[in-house]
Amino acid sequence: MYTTLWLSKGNEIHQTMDVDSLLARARDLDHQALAAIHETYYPAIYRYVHYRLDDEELVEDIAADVFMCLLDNLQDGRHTIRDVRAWLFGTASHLVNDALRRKYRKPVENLEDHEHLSSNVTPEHAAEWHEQAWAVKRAMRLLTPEQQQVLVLRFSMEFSLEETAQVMKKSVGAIKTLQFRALGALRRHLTRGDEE
Amino acid sequence: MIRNEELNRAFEDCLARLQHGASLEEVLQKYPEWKEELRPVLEAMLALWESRGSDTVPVAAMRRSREHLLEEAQRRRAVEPPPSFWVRWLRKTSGFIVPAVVFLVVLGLFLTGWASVKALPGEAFYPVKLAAEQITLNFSASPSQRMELEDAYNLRRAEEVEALIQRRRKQEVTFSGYLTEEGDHTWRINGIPLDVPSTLKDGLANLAGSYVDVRGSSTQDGHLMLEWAEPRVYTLTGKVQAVEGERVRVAGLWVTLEPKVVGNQRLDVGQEAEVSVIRLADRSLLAVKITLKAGGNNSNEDRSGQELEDATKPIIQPTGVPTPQPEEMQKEDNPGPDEEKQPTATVEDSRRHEDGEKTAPTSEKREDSESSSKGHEKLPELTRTPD
Repeated sequence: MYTTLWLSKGNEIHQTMDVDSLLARARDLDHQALAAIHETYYPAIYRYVHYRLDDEELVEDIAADVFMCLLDNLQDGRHTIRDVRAWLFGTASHLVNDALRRKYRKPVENLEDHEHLSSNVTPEHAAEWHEQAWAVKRAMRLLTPEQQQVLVLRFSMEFSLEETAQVMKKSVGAIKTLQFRALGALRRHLTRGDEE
Repeated sequence: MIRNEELNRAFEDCLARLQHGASLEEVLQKYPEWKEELRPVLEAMLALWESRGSDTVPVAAMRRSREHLLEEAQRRRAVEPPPSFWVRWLRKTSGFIVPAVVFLVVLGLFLTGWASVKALPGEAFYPVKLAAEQITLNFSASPSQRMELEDAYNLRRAEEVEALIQRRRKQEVTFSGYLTEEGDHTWRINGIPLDVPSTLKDGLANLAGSYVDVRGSSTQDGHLMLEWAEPRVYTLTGKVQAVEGERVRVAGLWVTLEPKVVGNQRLDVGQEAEVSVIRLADRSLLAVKITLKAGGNNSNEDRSGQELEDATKPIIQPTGVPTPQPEEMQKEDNPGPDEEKQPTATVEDSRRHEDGEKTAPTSEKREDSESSSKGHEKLPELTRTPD
């Protein structure tokens, strides 16, 4: 089965390959196949996790853990992965939600600390960071995890409604409603932030 | 609900237009009725779009993740060797291959069984037929059931031999049955006429009336040429359950004992015994050898018809290939002799048999049979000699 992988932001076809044979080789711990999968999906997974979390170290750990989970699943062999992209994003989503739950349970920081949390980025990088981007990120943190997830998938990762529904295990109709409400909430938080 | 659906449709349309480069005001002009609702969400969406450009993927993080993944794969590869091609193939196809294999096996067994039912000796499926019968015999619940099955299977053998003769097919066969001689000196086994070579005729006369195993060949002119015959000897093992005249009951079966076989040793109820017997044409059993085991019950019990109810488990084993045991010969066999004898004998000395001593027959063919059955290890074997 040939699957087209939509990876880049501009919806251009990035790569076409026989995903089934790649997964079969990865199941046999083939280095080339594992490296190809990692190379193909890591940037998107990293960005997805980064949209939802601020802790760079945690983002890196979770992005790496997603691929370790893939290795475990391939080795286990009990569950078939039909859509590796959806599977990777679904796993990343679970890991992020777990991280957020831990964070809520043991709050050691507040939203105002987020800029400080990212202090490990280079000054050049920080300088490039747009003020509006930070405002959006701050507003995003005030949304529910589901709202954050749908917005990141739909408007940051540019997933289609169907792909988002597959990753979030919801119907397309539910995704439509969720994204609309999430955008409304985001807008309210952005407006409130501007007023402050 | 409908309103929401319309709003969602308008939002998706605006989204698509914005992606294609339209401005916010342009897309909102198309939906003036939803303008108030759409504007804030589209502005939020545009804010999201604008903010996403700042997310870059650190090359070092990606490299670390990649190295970690490949190191882990290397570690696992060292621990467990990669599965073979067939293991991978089985993993991949196990979803449908297992039911398919089960179906094919069941179908194959059914077809093989069906084909083997009509198989004759010498045909490809004949061994399957014999194997299936042997399996059935091994699963028989009791000795009597096993004997019934053996009877049925030996009749099958006879039918197969008849079929070979009718088809005038040359084939070596082995089967069992009662050997009879008709008035015109025609020898038959289970009704099948035999061509007996002159060299075997004398020996065959000694076996007349008994149950024998035979080997022969069906010929292309529709005959069965005898090559070898031997009386079927069964071994009964268990306690002596009753003694009555010249008869003794072992393993639930009445067996005629000639004094010569018993000798002069006392035979008591409760004694452990191993008796080698042959079957006669009148369906009775004649002992050709008896072995009394030490440690039996030697109490002076009434040995005239007394039965030992709690006898040990009887063991009934044919010495040769499985042969039938008529049901009439079993436990309901009536005691025959009127006079009561006290069989006192030692174990039959096989040498005495070899000396050719004759025992007094209790059935019409006993003398012939007994003389031809000098212990199951020393029974005369009739072998065709080359002409």
